[in-house]
Amino acid sequence: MSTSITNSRPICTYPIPVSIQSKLSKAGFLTTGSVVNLRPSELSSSAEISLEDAADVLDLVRKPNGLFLETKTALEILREEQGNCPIVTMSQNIDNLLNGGVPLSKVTEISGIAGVGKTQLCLQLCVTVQMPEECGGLKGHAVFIDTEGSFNASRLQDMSQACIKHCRNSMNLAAENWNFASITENIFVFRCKEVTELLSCVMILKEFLKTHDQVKLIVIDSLAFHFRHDMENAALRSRVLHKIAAELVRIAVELKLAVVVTNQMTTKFDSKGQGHLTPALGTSWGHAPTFRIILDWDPSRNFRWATLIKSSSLPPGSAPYQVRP
Amino acid sequence: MTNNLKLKAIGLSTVITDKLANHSIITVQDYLTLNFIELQRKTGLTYQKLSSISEDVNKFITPLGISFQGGITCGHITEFSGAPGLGKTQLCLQLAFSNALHGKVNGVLYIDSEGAFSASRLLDIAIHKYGIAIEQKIKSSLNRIHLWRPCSLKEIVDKLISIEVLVVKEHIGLLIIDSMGSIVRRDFGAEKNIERGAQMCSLSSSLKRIAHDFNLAVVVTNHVTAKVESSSTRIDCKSTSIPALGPSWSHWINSRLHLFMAQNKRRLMVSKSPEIPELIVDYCISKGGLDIQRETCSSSPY
Repeated sequence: MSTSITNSRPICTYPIPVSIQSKLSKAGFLTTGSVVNLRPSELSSSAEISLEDAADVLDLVRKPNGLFLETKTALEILREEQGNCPIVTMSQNIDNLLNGGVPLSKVTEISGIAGVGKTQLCLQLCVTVQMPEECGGLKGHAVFIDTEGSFNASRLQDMSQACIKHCRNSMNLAAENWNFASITENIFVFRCKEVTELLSCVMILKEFLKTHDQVKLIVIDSLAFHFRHDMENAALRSRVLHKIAAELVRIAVELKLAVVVTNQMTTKFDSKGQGHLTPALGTSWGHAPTFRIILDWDPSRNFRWATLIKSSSLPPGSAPYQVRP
Repeated sequence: MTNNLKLKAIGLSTVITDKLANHSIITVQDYLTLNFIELQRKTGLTYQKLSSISEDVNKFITPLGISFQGGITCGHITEFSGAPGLGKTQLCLQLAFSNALHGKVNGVLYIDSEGAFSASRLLDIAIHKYGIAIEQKIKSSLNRIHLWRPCSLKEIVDKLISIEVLVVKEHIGLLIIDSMGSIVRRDFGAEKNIERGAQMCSLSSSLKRIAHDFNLAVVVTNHVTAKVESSSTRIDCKSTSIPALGPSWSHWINSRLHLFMAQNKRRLMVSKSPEIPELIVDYCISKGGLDIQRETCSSSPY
């Protein structure tokens, strides 16, 4: 909203070429306020200047008043993307599936039936995000939003020790300062027992992240839990889900961090009456994450695999993985 | 062939046709393939004069301009709808690159509301679909694609003039909104209400005006939502996917291409278009983007 002071700022104070200035003043456009809300075609016909000149004038006048589009070219974004380092999962197959690991600036959804290892993977990511840069990590912190009460500190300890050992062995890292204590210090856990707590937690994340700018990973485990149990009203449920989805996408993109959300599975019946498992929360939620992975396992053969079902830049595929201490 | 129809035959005054002929604009094709900026630069006519000439030309024939196998018409809003993961964003990225590379007016404004834009994917498409090995060519095409991430529907509506200014300055020939579904539902949720309808209506009419005034193609992606067909027994309830945003939105777009899965195959269906008859094609997504394979002969989509 321009104030009255800027509205009355004369056109001649902008760096507009003299010939155009004279045409503008002949047509009666003397102040900012008189042109700032005109479309290029309107200004062009009223002042009898070309469309391009009109667009230039409007650009010059609108920019200082904040009325412009903050655009980036694809080339700039390519450079940013090539500089982004994904978060490794420590499973080479899954990392290959994701072209390096869980990507920054995107929302990734991990679904799977109960017990398949979603929380394990999330805990793993909370550790690997903290790896020093020499080991291929991001030296970043993590936020873990727990809705099911599945955050397990002792499992975290096992994983951290394994990870530290891996780093020390492969990189000969002395790393006195990278130990279990420091790992736990840099994971911020929020326990949300109801939908309203989850919603408010997501909404205040931005504030929290302002004071904790080293956070590179946000995990929500799981998003589906409260929605399936607490919310009966489908319309309200979808509205809240969209709000959360929008906020997560905005945080991921603006602050360039990875957002990982876990989801449960539900049965969908097709036209023949056969049911098959699909991620829960509906198709409208399905549009929100950029990457969607389903974890599956066959307990009889002890065979687990991860399938990429949606991505904006990678081909779909499956990758077997193992759960180790 | 309407392409070679001479402007004289349309009934424009000789003064105008002579002026245009001086700049080698003799046939309808010559006229329609240039946009207003170029016409102004060449002929020195004012914007108003050009719009009235364009009106006469357009009234005489319906403007064609199918530049993509399937129907992305300039001056119209084309919608891609489909379930998540089927390739709407891929199609948008492919179109964006293709226009930045080949288009007569080759700036692209990509409005991204889902955070799915991937410049590295554009690079893949450049290398694998268009076989471009020259780095400079890729860089200059990428430089013509402008990405904007608005926070809300209201921000788009408020900044329409800025969009127009950008269209003129950067010679934008293609405007992509990915995705309309998430932008509208972000503020209004998935249920319809009057205000949501009003804002969508106002946005679509402004987009149509910009599309028409600058002869640019507007592509919009949409979500799908489940429509449950009620039946007497609950077991027989069928749910089908239909494009989101309600039936009134369907009226405000000009063409609709619907992506769906049938029998484990990806299909694209032209479900609404003023120029092309209903057709269904198979496609697959490769390293180079969407590859349309063949037309299926079945009349029903499934």
